Amino acid sequence: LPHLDDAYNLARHLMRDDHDAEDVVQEAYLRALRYFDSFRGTQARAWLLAIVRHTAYTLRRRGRVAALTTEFSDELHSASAAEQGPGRDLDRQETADRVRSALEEVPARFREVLVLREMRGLSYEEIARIVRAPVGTVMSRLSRARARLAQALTRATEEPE
Amino acid sequence: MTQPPLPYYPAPAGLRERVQSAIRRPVRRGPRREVLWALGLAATLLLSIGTWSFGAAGRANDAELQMVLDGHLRSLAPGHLTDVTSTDQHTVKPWFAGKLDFSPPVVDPASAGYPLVGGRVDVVAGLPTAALVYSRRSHIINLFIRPTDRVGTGPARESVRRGYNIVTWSASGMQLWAVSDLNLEELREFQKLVAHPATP
Repeated sequence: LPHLDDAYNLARHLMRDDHDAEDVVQEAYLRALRYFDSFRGTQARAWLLAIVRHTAYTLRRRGRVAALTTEFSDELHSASAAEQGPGRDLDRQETADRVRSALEEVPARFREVLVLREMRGLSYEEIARIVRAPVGTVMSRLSRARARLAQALTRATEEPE
Repeated sequence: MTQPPLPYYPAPAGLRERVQSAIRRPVRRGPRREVLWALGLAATLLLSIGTWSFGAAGRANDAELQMVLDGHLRSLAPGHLTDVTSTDQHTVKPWFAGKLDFSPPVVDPASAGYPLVGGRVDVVAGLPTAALVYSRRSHIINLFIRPTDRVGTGPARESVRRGYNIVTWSASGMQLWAVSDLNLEELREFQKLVAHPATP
């Protein structure tokens, strides 16, 4: 199973839920296997991530996943925070949690370009192919996504805990 | 403000196994289905070859032969022999037009002692069949003809049923049965006379 971590990472960011992300990854690999004949080229990771993304949005549209209809859920976030466990570096831990929460507030269309851009070695062209948008769109979406994330982070910092 | 590092979620423990087992199921099912297909295909092939070759031996065509013989016996009942009574092949052949969806080859080997008596439309094994009637001395020969999918010319096969001789063969997309109480030698001779009818 190549690129399982990247596949799960993208799915987890898009679904914002561990179980849904696992379902997406399983379904995506099954689809990838089924359509492997249609795979042309060398960018297997980009191809697979495109399938993961498509699967995630399909599950979302079906309304099977409740977490996606709730843009922001305290329950989800506290759960993901709890998973982290007690961190040694509380400050860094806190920052990571805040980023996580802030990122999950960013709409999926922006979130996905941020996440894909963070993945090692994915070019703009590959990201564009994965999200099925022109490269220019990807770049503008990326800058808007960064602005949104910054906004969300600032909001989170300003709001007293 | 620079973008802070985003969280990276590595695949949780157990996901690899879960996905792998999910993948393996349909994959394992795949070859098995192919094997089934192959077996089915082989069985079908064997069956059709078997039917064809055993039919050549006159076994699988048993029921058909019986129906051909029944047709012959029916025709011997008074008034059932011919619908068109003519010794002229050019009268008999056009007579079938409009009664059958094929045109049976009609020859008249009268000079060899097998004169054409006439023809009729029969139903053999549920299929419309042309029946040509010939005579040899006091014997009646029914020649049943109907189209077949078999291509080329098949070898003549002989069988005996209840004292009647039946010779069947295929030629030019037609299956033919000659049925008579005539002795086998003369029926063979008759078969050769009408075997490769040059369609007029």
